[in-house]
Amino acid sequence: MGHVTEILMMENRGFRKQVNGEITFQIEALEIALLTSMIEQIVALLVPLKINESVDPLAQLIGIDSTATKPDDDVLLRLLPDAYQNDREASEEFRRFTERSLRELKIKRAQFVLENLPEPDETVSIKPKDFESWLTVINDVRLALGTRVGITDEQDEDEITGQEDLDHAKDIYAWLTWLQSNLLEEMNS
Amino acid sequence: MSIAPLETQSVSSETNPNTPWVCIVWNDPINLMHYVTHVFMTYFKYSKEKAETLMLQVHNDGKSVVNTGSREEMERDVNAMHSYGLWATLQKS
Repeated sequence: MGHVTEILMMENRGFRKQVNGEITFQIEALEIALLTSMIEQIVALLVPLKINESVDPLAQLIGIDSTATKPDDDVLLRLLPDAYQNDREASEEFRRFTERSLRELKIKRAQFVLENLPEPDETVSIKPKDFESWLTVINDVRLALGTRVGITDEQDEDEITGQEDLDHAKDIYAWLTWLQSNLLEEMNS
Repeated sequence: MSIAPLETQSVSSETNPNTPWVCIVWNDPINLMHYVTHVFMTYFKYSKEKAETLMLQVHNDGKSVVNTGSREEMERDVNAMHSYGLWATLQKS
């Protein structure tokens, strides 16, 4: 699993649980822009490709997608994994019954967080009922970015490669790890 | 398509309905240890101690059986684990 030594490197952003249970912290304009962009990319990835009128609206309503198949893209496969390890047929069947609703749930949470990101210089404020949305959306972003940059073991995230883009992505990944850790800590405090 | 397929959500007709199924969570390099513990406590309502034990099994042994039940129940659990971003599968125990 991932680890969080990066915490020590990050400055104090005033993570705090208020008397009303809300978690508040500071976030910089650049970080808001970064989060916005990454969450939007996740949404774009999760929006089902095959929306057409031939899909039975009732089936769609109850979350069945007869066209759902195993994703080719590594990131999408990480967000929507197979449910059976060595049974392709059962995995595909599971997808047809569950994948659409899982995509919709992840999109809904992502859009919620997007709408609740603060304006630059405002404080982030998260109500207890919204903790899970924030936590899971940040986790989805970490899964997506970590998969893209090829985090395969716990050493990878600290390794400097000298490739500017990759090292930059790893810095962002470390920041997301730090953000998620702080949220978890406050939630459980 | 009718809504009838919902009743046949479980595919293998040869499966004995009494055979227990298990939900397995697999180790991965991205999910944080305390996030995994948090998910086990939140979704399964496990005590902190039990959740941490299971999390450490995932971390040290590569996987852990986190729940047992009918196929339908384990499908629900796997779907929930996927919604949290954990890497989970189900199989016959």
